[in-house]
Amino acid sequence: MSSPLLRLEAVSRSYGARHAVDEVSLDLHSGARHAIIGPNGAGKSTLLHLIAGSLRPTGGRIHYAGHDIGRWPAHRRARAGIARTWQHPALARPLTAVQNVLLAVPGQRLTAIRPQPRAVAAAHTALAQVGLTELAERTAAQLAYGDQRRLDIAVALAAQPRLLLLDEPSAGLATSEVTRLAGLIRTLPADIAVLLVDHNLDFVSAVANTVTVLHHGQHITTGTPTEIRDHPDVRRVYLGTDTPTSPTPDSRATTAAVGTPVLRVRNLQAGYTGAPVLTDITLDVPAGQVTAVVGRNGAGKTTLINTIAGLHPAQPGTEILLHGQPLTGYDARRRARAGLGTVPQGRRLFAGLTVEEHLTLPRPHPTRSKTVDTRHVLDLFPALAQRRHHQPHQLSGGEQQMLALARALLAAPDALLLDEPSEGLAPAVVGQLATIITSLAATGTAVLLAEQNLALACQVAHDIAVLDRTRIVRHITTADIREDPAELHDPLTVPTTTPTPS
Amino acid sequence: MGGLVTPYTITALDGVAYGLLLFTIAAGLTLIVGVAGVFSMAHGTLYLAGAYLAWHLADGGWTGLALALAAAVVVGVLGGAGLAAAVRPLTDRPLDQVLATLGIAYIAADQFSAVFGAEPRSVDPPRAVAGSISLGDYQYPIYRLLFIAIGLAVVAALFWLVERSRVGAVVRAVVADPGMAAATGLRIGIVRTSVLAGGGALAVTAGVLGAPVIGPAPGVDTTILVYSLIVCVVGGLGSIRGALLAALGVGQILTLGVAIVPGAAAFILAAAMLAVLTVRHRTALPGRPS
Repeated sequence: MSSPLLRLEAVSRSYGARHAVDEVSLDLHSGARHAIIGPNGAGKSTLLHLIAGSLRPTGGRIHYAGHDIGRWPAHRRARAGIARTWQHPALARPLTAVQNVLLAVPGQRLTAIRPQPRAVAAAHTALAQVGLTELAERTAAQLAYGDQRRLDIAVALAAQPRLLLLDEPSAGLATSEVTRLAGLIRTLPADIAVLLVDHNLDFVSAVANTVTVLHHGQHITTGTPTEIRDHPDVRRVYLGTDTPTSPTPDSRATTAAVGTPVLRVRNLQAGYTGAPVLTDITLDVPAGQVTAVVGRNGAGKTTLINTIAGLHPAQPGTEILLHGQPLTGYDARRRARAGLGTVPQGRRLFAGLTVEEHLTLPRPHPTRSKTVDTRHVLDLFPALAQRRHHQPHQLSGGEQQMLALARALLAAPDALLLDEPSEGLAPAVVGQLATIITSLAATGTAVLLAEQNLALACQVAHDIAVLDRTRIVRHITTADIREDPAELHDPLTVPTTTPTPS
Repeated sequence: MGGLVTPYTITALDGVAYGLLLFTIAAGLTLIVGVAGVFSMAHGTLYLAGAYLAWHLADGGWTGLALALAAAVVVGVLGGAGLAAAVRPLTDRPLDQVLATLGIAYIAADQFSAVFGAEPRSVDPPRAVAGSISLGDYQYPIYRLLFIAIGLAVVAALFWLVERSRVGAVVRAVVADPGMAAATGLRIGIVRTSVLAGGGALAVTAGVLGAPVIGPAPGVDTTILVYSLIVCVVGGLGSIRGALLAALGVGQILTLGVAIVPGAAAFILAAAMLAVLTVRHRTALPGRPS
């Protein structure tokens, strides 16, 4: 086999003590269709940045077409034939589609008043490749989101790349658009190597011949989509467990008195830049119960939590009720005041504030009947007591999570939203977290938990809603899962179905 | 003692006074930008309003100064709250806010000229502190020393307020993550308006106290605005500590710099700014959590 077009040798990128990419090695030959997958924070986008030159590696070598390009600036790499698209389309919105593509056609003179006919022809060829010929004279701003993504790819193709880097090309696209995009990538000229990062595993297995799995910046495995699907390590990192069959018996499932729901969500819809992320979500969380929302990466779990908390706008028709009081028109503060507590993804602690200062911020609103005993809350988190004068970046992941929890609890919430609390935590700390969540519910708090870690979800939740492709596809009690583990296994395992062209 | 007192240390002392004055003005602006996200182009105007207030009310005694200070707090709070109300419809439109506050600054400058005249006014400090004392072989104005003392007190009070009190924790939480601060139950809107009002009060008060140092005259508002913006940007938006260091640095360059290399001080200021911004950018990047 000829020498690879792109070779990564133990490439690393660290931010302080954190390794975003940790000694990843990879070979990519001409004509390859290679995908990189992995949970959030696995280092996928960072790896693309390292290859495109928008970030410099802190270790290792990057060889491209026989050159060591590790120290080349991004524009030099682009001229050498490395083209990329961005997670969100980076287009000149007032310009027409063809003008956008023209910007990228190489070999033009800057001083030319009109673009050369050759360049215009090249631009139209690139547009035809992605099927946008009819929309060539529309401005980028007028294009639908899916068309903008295709235009972004046309811009990359117009530079006549040898290596095409695609960052989450299927994000925000409808199923039919994803199918078209897969077809487009498969039919790209055979001498172009494609390296793509994506969360949509069906899309990945439709497009890629080779798949690499990253986790916490480390290379887990590389293989064909089929090999990846059956690889036990992949299931483990992607779902936090290999099978959801070993939940510990839930002591309180029987004691919880199921009353009227505290938190009710009706017809929740939300999206980003016009692309729907959630449609028609309906959920009830009664007092004293934990409802878990599980789903693959990119299924919309975080958007759901943020939309309920008021951190992300909901679309018309959405109804969110707390104790029967509609919250939909409220901002995040009034929702918090009404009794909604939020522990967001990534914790969102306040940089520069000490632990003690974090704990002075929340105060239960005087109009609320529920009171909170500060000392009692802090007793839940003994580790924080010794860390009172530390700032978030000096805390371990577990301590950060405890602080985020304590901050939410000090406002005495009736309903608590938890987004991926186990993210980045050691197993022992996850166990501690499970105990805390269970005891919170025992005191009557309604808990909505978005989790990727299925074992944790099964351990603490009374019922589990499965989110897939913008909607809830299944809603089951944890007791049923214990009897029939396959119930959850199907919609959650790595690549479920081969995409059916629609 | 004698070895310490040279023309340069005397000039450096001037620089400290100048730096503390800039800090008092710019500390408000850096919080306004950091917390409320408003690049207030009317901040220099507030200083000038304070300086004219001092000129108008000064009677050579302590009463005039006290009256002027009381009026300054009222004018500053009202001015800041007024600015907050004016830019409220323009939330999330930073350029429109800049234009709106710039317009207010122009109108105010015009009114100042119409009311107080176009010639520079000099403001005398209260008689009790109007003289000089000798430092070694040199005579140094007492008021300037007093001003340094007041400036240091302002520094200490602001540090305590922003870095030690709950109010400061609330303000810094809003700087760090407004969305999450709201979800924690904090009133973002009131915090933002209060910071504008407090910053306004600081600027007008600085105008009253600083009038004997930088007196009221047309154009002073622009000069002060430019220097405060430099202090804010170099010190980092929303950072009191950064603003203090930057203000002291700018103060030294504008006094000691002018004394050592006359004519090149503007270039030194620009070069120092670039150097600080470059170095800070480099060092800030690697450790930044993502």
